[in-house]
Amino acid sequence: MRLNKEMEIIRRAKQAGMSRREFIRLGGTAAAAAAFLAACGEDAAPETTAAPATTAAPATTAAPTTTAAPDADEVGGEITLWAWGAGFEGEVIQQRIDYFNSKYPNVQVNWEPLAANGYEEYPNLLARFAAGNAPDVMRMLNFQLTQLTAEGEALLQVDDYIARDAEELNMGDYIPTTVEGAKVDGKMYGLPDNTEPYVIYYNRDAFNDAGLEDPQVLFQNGEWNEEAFTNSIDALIDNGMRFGVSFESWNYDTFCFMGGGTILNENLEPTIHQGASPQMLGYFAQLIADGKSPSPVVAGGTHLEAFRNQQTGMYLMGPWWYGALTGTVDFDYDVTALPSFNGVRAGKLELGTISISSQSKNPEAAWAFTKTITDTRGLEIWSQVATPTRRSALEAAGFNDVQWKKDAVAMVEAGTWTPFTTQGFAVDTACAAALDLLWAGEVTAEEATQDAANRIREALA
Amino acid sequence: MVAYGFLAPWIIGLAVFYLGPIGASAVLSFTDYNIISPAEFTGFDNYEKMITDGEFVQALKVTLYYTAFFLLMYVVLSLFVAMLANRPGRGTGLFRLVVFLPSLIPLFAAAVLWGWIFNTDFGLINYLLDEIGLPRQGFFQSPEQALPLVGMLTFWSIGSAFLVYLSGLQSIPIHLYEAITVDGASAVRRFWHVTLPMLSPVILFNLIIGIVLSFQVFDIAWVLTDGGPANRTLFWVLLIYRRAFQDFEMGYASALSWVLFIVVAGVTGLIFRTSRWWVHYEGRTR
Repeated sequence: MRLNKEMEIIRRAKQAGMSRREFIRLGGTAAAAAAFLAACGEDAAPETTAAPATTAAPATTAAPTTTAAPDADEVGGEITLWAWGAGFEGEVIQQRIDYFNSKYPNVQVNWEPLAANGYEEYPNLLARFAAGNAPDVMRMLNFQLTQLTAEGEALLQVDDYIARDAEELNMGDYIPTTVEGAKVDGKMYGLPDNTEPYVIYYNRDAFNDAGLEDPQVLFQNGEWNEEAFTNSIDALIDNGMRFGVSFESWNYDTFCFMGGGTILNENLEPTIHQGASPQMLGYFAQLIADGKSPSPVVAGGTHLEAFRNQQTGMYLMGPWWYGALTGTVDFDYDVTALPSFNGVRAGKLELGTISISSQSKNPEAAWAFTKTITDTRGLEIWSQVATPTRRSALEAAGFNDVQWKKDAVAMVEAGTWTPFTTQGFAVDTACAAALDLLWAGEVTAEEATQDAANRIREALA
Repeated sequence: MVAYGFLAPWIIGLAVFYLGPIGASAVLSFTDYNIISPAEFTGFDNYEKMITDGEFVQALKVTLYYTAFFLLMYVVLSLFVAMLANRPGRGTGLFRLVVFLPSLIPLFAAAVLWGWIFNTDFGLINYLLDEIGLPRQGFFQSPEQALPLVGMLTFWSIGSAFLVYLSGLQSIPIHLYEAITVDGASAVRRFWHVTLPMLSPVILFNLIIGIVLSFQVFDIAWVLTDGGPANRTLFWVLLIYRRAFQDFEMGYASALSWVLFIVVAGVTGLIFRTSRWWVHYEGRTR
């Protein structure tokens, strides 16, 4: 359960382990990862897991009032922006607003910076919807779309706007998985804004000392797989590293995805006890049992410190810490993609969208803002603190010039996620409760995943 | 009228920020409400749901276990420590300071520190255990050890109870001890026949406060374990938080809150009713 981000991080440091909430808090302030997709020639080319379908929801349609996008100087009025972002992230948000105003000078954007992040402020957002005082434009976390559309038709469905401005928008420029993340029941409820994959940090000096091949090279050669990963862990430990790899328990879904497993199917029935999920969870649990990995049930930031202090040779996490480590460690480190298991390369993807409230009294200006800050230039600005969702923005920001960013974007391409439900964190908390016993070595992966499936059913009933 | 005018800010605040929400939560407890959609009346469904909610049953067990542990620390151990601190001698002042000082540190901050000290793989305690050849422990990562450890760490917060006990001990008339000592009473009999009866109102106070505090525990679990591992530290209030602000089941969370209130009020009322038999008020029965 539930991160440490501050865990800026730190849901957090929630949950004797970084929770997703904590994670986002961290991710929100950390420098971002990522780079260009063109997959760096990999073995079974990064096999992209099909993005899951989202839950059914009533459609909220507010068709644009014009058949063509109005000229920029014809769009005016005020809009309110609901977005979090402190420090440099806040400066970047202001830069995006300034960029918008350079194109739409007659629209006044009222940004009220949130005190906390999108997780912690979410109840307040719901209260504003309930009071009929919702902001016009919101920075949303992907799971929130399902709740807001299914529970209250709170968001503006933007398919008609997208169709009207198709040429300007160039939706084909988006990484496909990020577009899927902006949909509920096949309908778009915002434009993709940022995305964060999961990757492997590794201590390059320790790899060299142990006589291991560089993981980035292995990945480029299509050889970064279970065998290479396992061999690396063993060799690092044999060469004096205390642990081979660290990971947090709230990333249980990433472990499942890595081997082609899933948590829920499209009908929101638990599948964590089927397919590759028990195998993958069992693999990681065995690492703990063998003393090759520390306990994953920890407060946020613990394993980052372990990596920083060379207690562990690898760390499975999002790429947002890359910049934060710069200058704070006295060894050479880098980032590459997650290893493939069972011939599958996949991982969890965190997604964010810019969405419009159905209560907006100025939807045309809200839409203009949304599409402008998510165009190539808008996302290029955003790339200072996040991984943008447009390929053109990745290129423009120079993401394809750096190998680790290329590897990270390969994980964006191969990213997936658990179908979202209207039950908030119910699936996460159900799985965490069941899997804690697995991490503690008290049950087998089969027993733990069966227990998780039962808890999920109960939680979603 | 002038008096009411001066009282108005307080009365308005009470009505708007306390009585209003309390009344609203009572109504919401009979509804299905997720904030964004209109509440739907569901009768006693939320209350019936508790019976079959496995996490509620677990939260109830955890909270009762913790309450027993906490009361042992807060009511019994703090009395013992207060009696030690009440003995004259060198270092007494320092001892009192050391016992009371931790209670001035926010539990939230202390919990972060404990999380590191008791970390399974990188913590100080396991390092020391290694050094002396003893096996490492799971501590907060262990389903068996997490809750007892959380309970033990409440020793940190006995300062307020300690202070109340100490003042109570120092207000016991010395002539009572002199009289029973002249009669040849042992230390145990002095404690049993003078200290305890004279301190019983203070014990009642600490007992009530201890029960209320233990049923409301949230921060320490939120920071240290978030209810884990395996829900072994899932306290009642933490469950309310999850249902309300993570799952957005405001109706059910309200019902959980009201049941918590009824349980605490019931236990408190029961203690008050029994207090007539064991609490001694100097000069009158009650």
